[in-house]
Amino acid sequence: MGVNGAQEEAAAARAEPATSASDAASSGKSTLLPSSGSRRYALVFGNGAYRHGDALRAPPRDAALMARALGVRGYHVLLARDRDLAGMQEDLHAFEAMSKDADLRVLYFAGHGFEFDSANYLMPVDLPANIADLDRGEVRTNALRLDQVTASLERGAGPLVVIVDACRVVPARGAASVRSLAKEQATEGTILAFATAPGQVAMDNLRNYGVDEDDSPYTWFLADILSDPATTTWDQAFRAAYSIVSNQTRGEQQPWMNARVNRFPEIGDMPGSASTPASASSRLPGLSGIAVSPERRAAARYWAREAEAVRRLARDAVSDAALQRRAGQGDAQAAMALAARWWEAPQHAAQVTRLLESASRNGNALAQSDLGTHLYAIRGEDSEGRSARYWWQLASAQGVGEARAKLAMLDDGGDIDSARELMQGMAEMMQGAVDGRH
Amino acid sequence: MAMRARIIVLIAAAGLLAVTIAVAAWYSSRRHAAPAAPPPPQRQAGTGVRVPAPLPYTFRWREGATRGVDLPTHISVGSLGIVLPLYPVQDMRSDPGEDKIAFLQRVRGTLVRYSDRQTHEACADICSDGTAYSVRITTVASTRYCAVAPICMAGDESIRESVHSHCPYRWGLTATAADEALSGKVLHAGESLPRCDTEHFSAADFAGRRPTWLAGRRALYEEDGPERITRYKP
Repeated sequence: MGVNGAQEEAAAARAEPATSASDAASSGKSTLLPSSGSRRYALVFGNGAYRHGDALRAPPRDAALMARALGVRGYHVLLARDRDLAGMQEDLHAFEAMSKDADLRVLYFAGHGFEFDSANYLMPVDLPANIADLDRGEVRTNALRLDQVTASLERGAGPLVVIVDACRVVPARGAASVRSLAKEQATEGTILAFATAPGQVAMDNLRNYGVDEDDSPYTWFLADILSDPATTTWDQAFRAAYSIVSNQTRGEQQPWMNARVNRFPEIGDMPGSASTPASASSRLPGLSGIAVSPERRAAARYWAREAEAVRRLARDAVSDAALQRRAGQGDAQAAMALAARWWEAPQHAAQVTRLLESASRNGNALAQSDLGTHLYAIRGEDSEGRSARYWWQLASAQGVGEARAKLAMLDDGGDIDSARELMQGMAEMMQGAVDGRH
Repeated sequence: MAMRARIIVLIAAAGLLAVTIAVAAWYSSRRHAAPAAPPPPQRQAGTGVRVPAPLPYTFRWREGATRGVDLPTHISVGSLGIVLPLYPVQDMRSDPGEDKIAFLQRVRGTLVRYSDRQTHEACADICSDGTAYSVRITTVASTRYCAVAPICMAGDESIRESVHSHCPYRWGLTATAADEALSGKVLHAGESLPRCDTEHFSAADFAGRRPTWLAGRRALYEEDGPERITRYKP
């Protein structure tokens, strides 16, 4: 197995819910995962095994990731992957029955989905033809209509949270009048959250943005945010996901939400989280006076893990040539690892700039931060004349605390605002380092 | 003696011929216009689930919509004050030279596929411009009922006949909010329902407007009263 294969295996292992029951949730089946005695329920769909050349790799993994995140928050999770239409209908009926007395219901869908006639359609895996060849009638016949699903789930239970990570392709035969899911209005007591805004297409992996993950950016970050006990309400989670995904995709994908609730529901306590030593306040006793927002914290955690992966690669890679080859193929981690190896060598200064510039342009915040630091150290500019400040600003916007702190220092840290920024950046940096180890 | 035997044989042959002609005439009349089978008293005979006739309902259009052409957005059910969304399924028009039966057979295929997949009834008013036929198929997402929307494609007029499909002959069906509303809360949303008879008109069908057409899985059926059901094989 090559490097990519090993990475896929590791990623798949990460994506699996940490429960033996998840093993039974193989393709085309649904499984009820064990949970605490809460009255919060979630139905999680991940459809990827589409026939006729439309298969998607990410959704089953995304569903497993989301199921695990919700399970950790005490939800009873019904995980359903690669389901046909009859299977999805069965799951919905079962979910409706089992969650009759729910305080909160969550419906998550990852897979193909699109819109026309102001309605959203969630596609099961047993479509009769290639998705691009479906006409409107075939979509109506073969898909689940979201407003019908929510209407049935809204009856007789607490608030409903609907999360849709869909829309990867555009139906060609007049099935869609716009390029994505519709601007569906939530009904009373419902929160609708979409991976992308109306008119935008959702990305199905992070690799286009220089990050070594196959999961959908929206689900990956949302699941990560949900697994943080500091995130307590659903609006916090969605705002954090919006901020990170929007930054990460440089505005190409902007998550969208519509809610009609008087008060956003609590996500739910993590069983045993109150006594967990890794809870928010106990992790950073020295910085307890500085609050790190859930979205910044999630981003800091993410980039800290990325930095650790780069450090390991720089330490373990067999040769510079091997790293150079991978960097040439667009591997951002390899580029940063090689830059780290050549960091202290003045003769490689221009090459370091080039290595980091490529990953930085692709939106990798860690590379942006490193490039800023490198340019500052050599008092240089990149190939387009941009200085350290430019790259640190981009990195800081994506949640890299180190870049935030360095920007503040660039402004001398003389005034109170700069000093606050410096402290905030350091707090984020330390929080990310601590969180990243868990 | 021989003459007498010949007469007997002739009489027997004539009788046999008469019986054959009578049987052929009976069969022919049965195939084209006679009742196919006595109508079942309810759609799920023997299941214990009685499906009442739907409550009266009216259609609602969006402000500015053209009545009779544009899709209504909702139906408003009787005195309950419940409003149900009406969903489009498909618009279809006959091909040049395609007669009414051939067109309705095509419509049958679409209706059956929809109801089989979605488990909901679907229906349409049958329309014509004098030469071609058309339908605008809709559903209220009900397992047991369909509200025939009084709409045609622009330029067409209703021929005062409708076509509909039944939910599939399959276990695992459940009543929807539309079933609950249209049944006057005799059925309850989420409750299990038995399999549907896709090949027979229901009591509610017989109580409705005539003639009407049923898109069955095996054939197309025309009903113009309980004694006048015609079956058209695909």
